[in-house]
Amino acid sequence: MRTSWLIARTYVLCRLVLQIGILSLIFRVGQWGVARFHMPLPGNILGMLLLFGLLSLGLVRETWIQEGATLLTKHLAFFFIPIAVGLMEWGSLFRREGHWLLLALVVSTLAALLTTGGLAHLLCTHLLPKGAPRWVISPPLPSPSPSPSASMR
Amino acid sequence: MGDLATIAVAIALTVGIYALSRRAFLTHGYPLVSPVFLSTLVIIAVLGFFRIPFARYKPAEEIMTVLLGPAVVALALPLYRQRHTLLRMLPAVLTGVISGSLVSLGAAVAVARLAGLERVIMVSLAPKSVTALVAVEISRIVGGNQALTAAFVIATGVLGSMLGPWFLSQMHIHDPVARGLAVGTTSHGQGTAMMLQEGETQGALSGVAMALAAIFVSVIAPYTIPWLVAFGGTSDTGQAAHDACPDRSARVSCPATTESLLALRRVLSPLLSWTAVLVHQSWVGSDRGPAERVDSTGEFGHTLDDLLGRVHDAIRERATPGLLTPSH
Repeated sequence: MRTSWLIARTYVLCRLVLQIGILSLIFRVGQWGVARFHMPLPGNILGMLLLFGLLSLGLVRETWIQEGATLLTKHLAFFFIPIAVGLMEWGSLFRREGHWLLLALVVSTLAALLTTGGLAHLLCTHLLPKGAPRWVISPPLPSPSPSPSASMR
Repeated sequence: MGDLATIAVAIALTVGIYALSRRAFLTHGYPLVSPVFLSTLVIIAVLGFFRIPFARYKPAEEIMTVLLGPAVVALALPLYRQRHTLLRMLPAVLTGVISGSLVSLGAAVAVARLAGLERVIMVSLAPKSVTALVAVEISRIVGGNQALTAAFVIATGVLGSMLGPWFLSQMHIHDPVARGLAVGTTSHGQGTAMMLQEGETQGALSGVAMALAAIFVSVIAPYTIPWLVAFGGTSDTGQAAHDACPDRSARVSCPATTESLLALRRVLSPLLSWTAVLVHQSWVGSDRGPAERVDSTGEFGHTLDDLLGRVHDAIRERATPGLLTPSH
C-alpha cells in the first residue's frame, strides 16, 4: 500500500520533470531563434508562439505538457517575487516621485479600461451576428452558484 | 559554503512566504493581499530587518527565476485551449487588445513626461499592463530597470483588479466579453483571477486578452516605447532614436531608420506565420484535424465550462475545504 503510493508519486514527479523539460527546451529554442535572427522580441514570447504552433499542427500533444504547464502557470506569480524584491534598492525614488508614479498608473489603467471595454462593448453589441451562441453569464461574486462541473460530479 | 547557506535560506524564505501569502489570498480573495504584493513586502521587510543587502539575495534570485522562461512558454496551452473563443470574438478581441495596449502605453508615458521623470523610469513604466514575466523582458530589451517594471506591473495588477470591475460598471459596460477583455488587457494575471470570480466568460476572455496583449506589446515595444519617450523632445531626440535601435550590438553604427525597417520585417514574419496557423484553424481545421480531438463533445462551450469550472472548484475548495467534497 505504502510502496505503491510511493511509486505513483515518483511516476507523477518524473512526468512533471519531463514535461517541464520539454517546455524548457522550447524556451531555449525560442531564445536561440531570437538571438540567431536578431528578432526584437523576448525569447519567451517566441517560445510561446512556437508551442502554440506546435500544438495547432498536432506535433505536440496537449497531454505531453499538460501537468507541467498547469503547475507553472498556476504558480506564475512565484517567479516574480524574487525580481520584485530588487525594489528595495529603489526606495528613495518612491518617496520622491511616488505620487506622480501613482497618478501615471491610475490614469493609464482607467484610460485603457475605458478604451478596451468601450470598443469591445460596441463591437459585441452591434457587430455580433444575432444567432451566434453566447455563453451563460454567471451571477457576480457575492453569491457564486456552483459551476457546471461541480454539479456534474 | 557561506554563500550556499545564504542561497538556501533565501530560497526557503521566499518559497515559505509565497506559500503562506498564497493561502491568505485564496481564503480572502482581496486583491491587496495578492501573493506577489504581500510576499515582496514581507521579504523586503525581513531583509531590511536583518540589514541584508540585496546583493546577497541576488544569487538566489537567479536560481529561482530559471523556470521563468518555460512558465511563459506554458501560457501557450491556455491560449490554445481557448482558440475557439478567440476566433469567434476575433474583431472585438483584436480591436480591444490593440487599442487598450496602445492607450495604456501612451497614457503612462504621457503622465510620466508631464511629471518630468527620468528616462529609465519612463521606459520601465511603459510595459506595465503586460503580464509580469513578459514585461520584465520587454523592460530589459528597451533599457529599463527590471525591478522597477516589476513594481509597476504589480501595482497595475492591484489597481486594475480593484478599480476595474467598479469602473466598468460606472461606465455602463456590462457586456461580459467587453469586461473580460478590458480587465485582461489592463491588469493581466491579477485581473484575470478577479474576472474568473465574476464569471466564466469574463475569465476566459480576460485570459485571452492577457496573452494577446503580452504578444502585441512585446512586438511593438522596441519601436514605440523609445519613440514615445523621445516624441517632440528637443535636444535628445537624436540620441533617443539612436537608442531605439533594438539591436544592441549594432548600435555603434546604427542608422536608426533602415535598421528599424529591417527589424520590422523580422517581426512581421513570425506574426504572419502565427496568423496563418490561426486562419488554418478557423477555416480548415474547424471540422476536422487536431482541433476536433480536444472538443469531442462537439460543443466548445462544454469544454470551456468544464475547464473553467475546474478552476473555480479548485479555488473554492482551497478557500472553504469541504464545500464541494462531502465531509466524512
